[in-house]
Amino acid sequence: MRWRIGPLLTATALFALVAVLAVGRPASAHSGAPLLILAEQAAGPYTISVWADPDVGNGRLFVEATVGGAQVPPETTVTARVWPDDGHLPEATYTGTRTSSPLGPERFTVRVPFDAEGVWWVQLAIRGPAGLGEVTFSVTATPAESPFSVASLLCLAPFAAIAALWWWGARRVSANPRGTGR
Amino acid sequence: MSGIRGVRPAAEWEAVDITAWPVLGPLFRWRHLRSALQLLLLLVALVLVWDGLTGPQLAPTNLATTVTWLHYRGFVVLALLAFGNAFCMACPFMWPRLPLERLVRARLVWPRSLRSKWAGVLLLAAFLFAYELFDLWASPRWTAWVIVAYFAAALTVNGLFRGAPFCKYLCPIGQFNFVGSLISPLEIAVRDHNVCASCTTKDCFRGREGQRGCELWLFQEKKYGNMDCTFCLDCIHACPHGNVGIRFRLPGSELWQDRLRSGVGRLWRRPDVGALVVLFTFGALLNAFGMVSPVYALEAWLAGLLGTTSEWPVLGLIFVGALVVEPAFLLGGAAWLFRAWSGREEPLIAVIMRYVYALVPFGMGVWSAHYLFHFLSGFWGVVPVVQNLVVELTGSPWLGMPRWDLGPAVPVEWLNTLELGFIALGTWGSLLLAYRLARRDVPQAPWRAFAPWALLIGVLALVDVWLMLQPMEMRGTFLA
Ligand code: SF4
Ligand code: SF4
Repeated sequence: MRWRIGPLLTATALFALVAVLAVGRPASAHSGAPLLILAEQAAGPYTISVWADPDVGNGRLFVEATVGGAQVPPETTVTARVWPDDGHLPEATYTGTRTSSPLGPERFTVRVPFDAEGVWWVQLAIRGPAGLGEVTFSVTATPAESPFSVASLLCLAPFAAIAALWWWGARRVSANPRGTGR
Repeated sequence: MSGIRGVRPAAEWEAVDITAWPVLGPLFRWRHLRSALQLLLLLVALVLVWDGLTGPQLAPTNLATTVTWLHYRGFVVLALLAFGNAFCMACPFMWPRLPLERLVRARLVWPRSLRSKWAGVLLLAAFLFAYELFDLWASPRWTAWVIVAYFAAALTVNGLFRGAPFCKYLCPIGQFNFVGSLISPLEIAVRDHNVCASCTTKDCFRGREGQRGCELWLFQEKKYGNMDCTFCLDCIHACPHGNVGIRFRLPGSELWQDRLRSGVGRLWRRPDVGALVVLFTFGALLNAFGMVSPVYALEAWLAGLLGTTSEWPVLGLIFVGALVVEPAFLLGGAAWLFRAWSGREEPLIAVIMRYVYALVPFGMGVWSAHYLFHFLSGFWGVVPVVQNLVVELTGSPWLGMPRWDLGPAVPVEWLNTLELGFIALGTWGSLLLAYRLARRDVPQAPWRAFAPWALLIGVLALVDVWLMLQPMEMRGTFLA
């Protein structure tokens, strides 16, 4: 049998792409970098910065806090009281976990399973030996991950057009070997 | 349209010279265009340094970090994709030399032993390493010092040595741009080779009274491609016959043949340039890996294995793995398969030094996907930073209170698709190049010669798509 490597390669590549998209999708959590909500704001004795990764179903709040310019003591905790602006759910409280990587910066991550898009209110409380600090802010929950919505697939059209042009150009240049071949 | 004469163009677009167009033509032929652009960026750089050293030290609230790591990098890749080496053209680091050289003439000659890309490769790798180790994206102060150090280094080296050895051999940004511009659609090139043949002055190279020639030692008549060209436009202004223009070419086509290039030599015989391309390509993947969650798991695991709480040995190991071991294994493997499947007898290194250039479009696709993701997702982030600056300077919200919620320039659900588009386009370009090389090498069975490289490019593309789909870590906020 003659070895048909071209179709074989194409089939393998397509299979691998589908496999990666299928495996990769559940791991994906956000279509953008976390949004800065509060920048170095005073909350009681603390100075805090807050970022939100407000995906429906898998929201995260990131809190960095310092007290007097130093890391907060180990006993410090962060909790978030969260309720939807339209009142469709009662408020719920979530506790943050402190990052313990030996290499990374210290921060608290609070997981908030927003159940719907829209405006949510968050009252963040930070408690510890230094005292209590509280801030309230709103975040807008964004759709759960949908990286390849039909509408967004239209964004691929220009890339496909450029790819086709590139291919056509390469064929054209190779059909004219006496040229500069640039 | 103005024709290139003396050499028959391979396609009609090669005859298009944008310096012959209305508006753009006079603009590019205006002798002060470069200095005007440089001065503009110099002013921006001064503001960044000032804010970086004196402003708030939270990265997303400072101009130094937002503009440097988000807007500037986005514009650089956009310009490389749509035009050419525009950043080097407008490079502010070179401007302070202009007044200085009226006082002191550069006299020293750059040592022959340093006339290669090796130092540039090491400096670019060191820059990427320092970027990760010191979290440069997160530190306005360090970002400001990096800009200051850049000015000092460029001024010292190019002020003391003849030509522009800092640009040609050392500058990490320049090396990045040189590789990226290999697949740019435009090239500074001669309009009519017959004019060059009868030219006696060769001013494009030597320069003439009040106008320098090419400081990168690229002689137009023999120049080919964009490697080492800073798009400084000096040759355009120096040529007394108006014989240098900016021409279209098929992106990447300069890489599928090995012409002798003025000031560069033959790419396929330049291991230093090959190493730069490896760094460019695998560095793109490493840089993207540095911003997703799995990197933290890997770092923590390695730290436990090494019993260290210090980041540099862990990061060093990851860098050596990603930039030396992985490329050696993958490129070596592909070259070995190439030999086995195509039946060609030649040293593996010779195969690698030819086909490594096929990775340039893929590398550029990865950098573009990554940088433009941050650029687009944080585009309006500069607005609250400026608003905040005004509040801090004047005590009043003249431009309104900072809108920290501002961010994306496009709907967020487009971002992943756009990223995928850049990765796919880069992959496609690499496949086209690899196929061209394979067809040149083994015309009777090009698919056999192409298959190993298609496999390699496919694997790299899948790795990048996987990376793209990983949750972004907090550092993503700071534009990793
Ligand atoms: S000065 Fe002009 S005509 Fe002379 S060699 Fe250079 S580009 Fe050609
Ligand atoms: S060829 Fe030389 S002088 Fe001309 S734009 Fe490029 S670097 Fe400048």
